[in-house]
Amino acid sequence: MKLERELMRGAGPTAVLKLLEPGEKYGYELVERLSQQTDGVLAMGQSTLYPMLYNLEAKGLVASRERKADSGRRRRYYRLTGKGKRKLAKDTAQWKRLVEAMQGIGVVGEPAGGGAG
Amino acid sequence: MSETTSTDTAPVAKQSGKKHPLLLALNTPVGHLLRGRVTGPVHRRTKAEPEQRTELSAEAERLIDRVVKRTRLWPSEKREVNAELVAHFADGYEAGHTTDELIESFGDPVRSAKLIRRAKRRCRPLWWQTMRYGRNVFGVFVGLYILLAGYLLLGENEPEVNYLAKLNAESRSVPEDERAWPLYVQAGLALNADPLHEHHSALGKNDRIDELPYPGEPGWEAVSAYLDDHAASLDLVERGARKAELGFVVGRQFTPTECRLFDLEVEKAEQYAFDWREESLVAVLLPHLSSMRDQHTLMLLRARRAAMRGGPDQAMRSIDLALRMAEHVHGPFLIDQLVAVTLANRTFEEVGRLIQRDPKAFDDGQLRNLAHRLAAVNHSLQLDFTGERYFLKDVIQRIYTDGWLGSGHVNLAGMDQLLQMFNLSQRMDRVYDGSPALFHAIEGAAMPAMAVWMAPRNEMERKTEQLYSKMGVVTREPMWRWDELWNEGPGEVFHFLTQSSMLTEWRYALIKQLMPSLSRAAEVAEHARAKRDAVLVAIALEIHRRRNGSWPEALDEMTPHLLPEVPPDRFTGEPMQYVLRDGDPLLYSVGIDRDDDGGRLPAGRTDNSPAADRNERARSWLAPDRWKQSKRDGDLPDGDWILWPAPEG
Repeated sequence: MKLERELMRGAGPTAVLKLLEPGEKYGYELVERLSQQTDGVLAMGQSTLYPMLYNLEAKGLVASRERKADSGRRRRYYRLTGKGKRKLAKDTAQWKRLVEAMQGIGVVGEPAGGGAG
Repeated sequence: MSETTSTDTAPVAKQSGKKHPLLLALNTPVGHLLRGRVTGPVHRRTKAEPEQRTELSAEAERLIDRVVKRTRLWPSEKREVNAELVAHFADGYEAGHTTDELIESFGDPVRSAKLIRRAKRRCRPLWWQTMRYGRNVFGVFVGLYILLAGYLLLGENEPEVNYLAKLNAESRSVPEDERAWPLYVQAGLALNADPLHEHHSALGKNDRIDELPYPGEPGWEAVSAYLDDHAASLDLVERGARKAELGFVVGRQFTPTECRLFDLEVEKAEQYAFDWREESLVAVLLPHLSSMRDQHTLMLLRARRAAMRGGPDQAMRSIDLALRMAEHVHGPFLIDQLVAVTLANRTFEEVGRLIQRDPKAFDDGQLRNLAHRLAAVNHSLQLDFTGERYFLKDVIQRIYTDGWLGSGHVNLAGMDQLLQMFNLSQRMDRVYDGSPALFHAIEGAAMPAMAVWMAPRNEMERKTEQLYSKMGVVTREPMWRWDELWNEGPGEVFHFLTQSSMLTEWRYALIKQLMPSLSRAAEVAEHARAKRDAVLVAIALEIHRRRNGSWPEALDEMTPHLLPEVPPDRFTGEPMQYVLRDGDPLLYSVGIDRDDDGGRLPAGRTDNSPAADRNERARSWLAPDRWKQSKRDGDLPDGDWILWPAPEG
């Protein structure tokens, strides 16, 4: 199942920022991870991903550089900036509150093992 | 944020290795240099490097080319996008996907190109964003300006009030046979055929009466002969002066006889006309004033000759008629009111000179009658700004549209009229080498801006009324009260006309251009009143001397039997100053410095300034703030204003 455009517009950038949190990644790698790690829910094609990355770059949330990979292929790698990290932290907190709110009204079920803490 | 390692990726660098920066700059397109980018020669192809391209299928390559081309980005940006998409496809192949799968997952290429273009442009440098913003703002401004221009081009400016007819109503109501003007025209035509100044080489054209000779002086014989030769014409002038009303119809449509008098051919008269000026006050010419001045001079010369040749009754009659002529000239416009003041003042001065030169010319009864006649002069010395107010209102109604609730604006036709009025059209025609289309295009383009900053019609009309109303103080009140009343009106007008900000100046440019110096005009009338008062005192002095054998010690000795009261000093409101110098009386005002210097003239601007100029300095009124400044700076003329007899030297 894929998200509707409006939901994707809100979730996509946060997802991309989150994927970049551990370290820099190139475009295809992000597409693959988004598809695999979200069971295709947040899967996006190049036509969506690259404009999103350029927008994040314009906002100063990510930075890019081109370099040769070990395979010898040149790729553009994206990484989080300090501003991007702060934005990710803020978005993460908001998403958590949103999910909790959705749980509160039963839109989203309790996570497995919920309430252990 | 992009940290592109250009040495690895730039196509030129790839093809030719590292180049010297200067060489690189020389090979950079001008457009890139202007953007502050040294790119070297632009690779025409924006595709990826050959070794990567070879990995792609033809379909994938076409898709990428299509997307990149549609982004319409800068070449360097296209190269970056292209390289990234190629790398993406190559990574997809490496992960085991087919071309079809990758193309399917790519999404809509048109939308993709659009989003990429939008996002990449956001990444552009600040200067570019600023220029784009500025361009957009400019575009909006131009759009609004065009809309405004369209609005301003609309609207009619149809004059509603015929101010010329209003001003002429009184003159037109005078029956033809009761008008003085036709007689003045006849006399003027005859006198023009043989003007006084051509009669004697010593007499220059437009000589002032005080510069013309007296009996016994060189040149007098020629003057006297002239008066004899033109006795018939002067009788016509006298007949005219006896009429109750002048009956001159102002405008620009003159009879052929009037055109001959004004030396104004009908064709020549047309040169003064603008198409729009029919029935307009701008079209008003007042050429009769010059002819009236000349005839008035001759009337005074007649009085001079009669007084000094034992004909006091004739002299009295000529003086009375000269004063009537001044009243005839007094019309609705400031200019003819000022001429009326001048003619009355010249008459006062002539009487003053006659009493000084030949004190016995008139007997006591004649002197009393003369004094009563002079004292009765009032209308000729009055100023009102009816004609000037009408003039401005008439211009406003001809250049402004009617507007909604009176908020009319200057439209193209109005602006054209305004330019014609200031003779700017002819100047502009020269500038644009007779290309009216170009001129009108520029005029049309500038008009919205001019119309926007110019006050709307109702505001302009309100301001006109307000300013003239405030200036009324100087016409109603004597000069010595101007200082205390200055801040109640005239000061504001003076400040508006001389010291307002550039913005205000632009907003009310019409008023600033067309409003005359009203306080200066009012000052001229005050000077004439002072002269008249001095002559009245001089007459009383002469009668006193005849009765007592000596001059009085003080002027109040003559009140109230010879003078109802001592006339005021126009600068202070205190009694007029009087002193006996070398046994002769001297009447004076303390002058602009408000300080009694015993009847001494101030120094001139130069060492050999004539006495008349020095006297002129002493009587020139200054606004309170300028007076204080001059006082602080020590620039105030230190001396008195001599009223009678006229200072010599």
